Amino acid sequence: MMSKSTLRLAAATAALIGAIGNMFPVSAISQEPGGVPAEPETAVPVEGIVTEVIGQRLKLQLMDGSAAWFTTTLALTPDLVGQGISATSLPAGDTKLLTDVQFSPK
Amino acid sequence: MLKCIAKGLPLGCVFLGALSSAVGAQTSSQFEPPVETLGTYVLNSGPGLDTGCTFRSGGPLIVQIPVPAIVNPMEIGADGFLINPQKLIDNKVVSSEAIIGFPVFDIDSGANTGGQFAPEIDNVSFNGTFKKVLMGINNQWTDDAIIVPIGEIKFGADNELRVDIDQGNIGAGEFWCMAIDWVAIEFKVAAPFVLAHGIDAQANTWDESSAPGVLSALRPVRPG
Repeated sequence: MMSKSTLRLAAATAALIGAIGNMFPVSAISQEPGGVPAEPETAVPVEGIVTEVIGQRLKLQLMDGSAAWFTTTLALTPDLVGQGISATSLPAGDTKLLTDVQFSPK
Repeated sequence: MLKCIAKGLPLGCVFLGALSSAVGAQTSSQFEPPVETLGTYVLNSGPGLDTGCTFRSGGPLIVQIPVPAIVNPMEIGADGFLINPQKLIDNKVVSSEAIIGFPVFDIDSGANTGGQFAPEIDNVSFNGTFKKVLMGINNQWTDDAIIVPIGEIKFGADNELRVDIDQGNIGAGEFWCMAIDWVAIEFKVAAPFVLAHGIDAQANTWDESSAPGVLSALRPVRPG
């Protein structure tokens, strides 16, 4: 079993390393769960179809055929699934934030 | 099960609980869980574990870790908590604290967001009690742990480790994700004493006159 002092040392080390690592702007180090590095911090127009909604997150089928998850600042409802969407995407944390969101009816 | 003759123990009898199976174990991080033994209980697969990086709406991550009833059932309340933990601590039956280890992934607790949204705030609770906010490193595993009083461990029942993800951005978006690899609960517990006599045994077999030093060797765990 780890001693308390070992535990505290490990926690302090982790915190220190975390603090150093987090000195960089988050957009420069953010990454999606799949291990694909986020794009540079530039706003990108996005168009596609909503295929899934969970909480404040949307999964979109994009015009190029790829699929991706985004977050929004909006309160989302399941009936958005199937609707078209156009927005601006910006890397934010572990994901990408959609702003200027406009939905189009099914 | 072994017949326990530990009449000197304050609990009457201590027995080994069934250790959970390691079948199906999955370790996502570079941190190996401890080997399961008396006083060390590991959960390495199941709900809440190895979920991939999970955002708030995919959570909370809830992990149920069973700890067997390794003390006399008379010492365990209906809710699984020890009825009088201090007595067992004083008698050196169990340690006063337990360490709960759990590697966590991608904790951006100190991220510089430029004020656009909050850094990652993941709240850890154990058996319904808030313990701390996670700290860690972007896109890396951190071998984290909390220390809890032994009185907060449930015996013969599941213990719940819960992580509420990205609590600093509720209503503002879901920016941060994380995952848990495995959970281990570790504490010290006295191994059971088993006195096995021969066929010529009598009621006084273990008395000092017949077996010098045997019962006195058990005194450290007898009631004071």
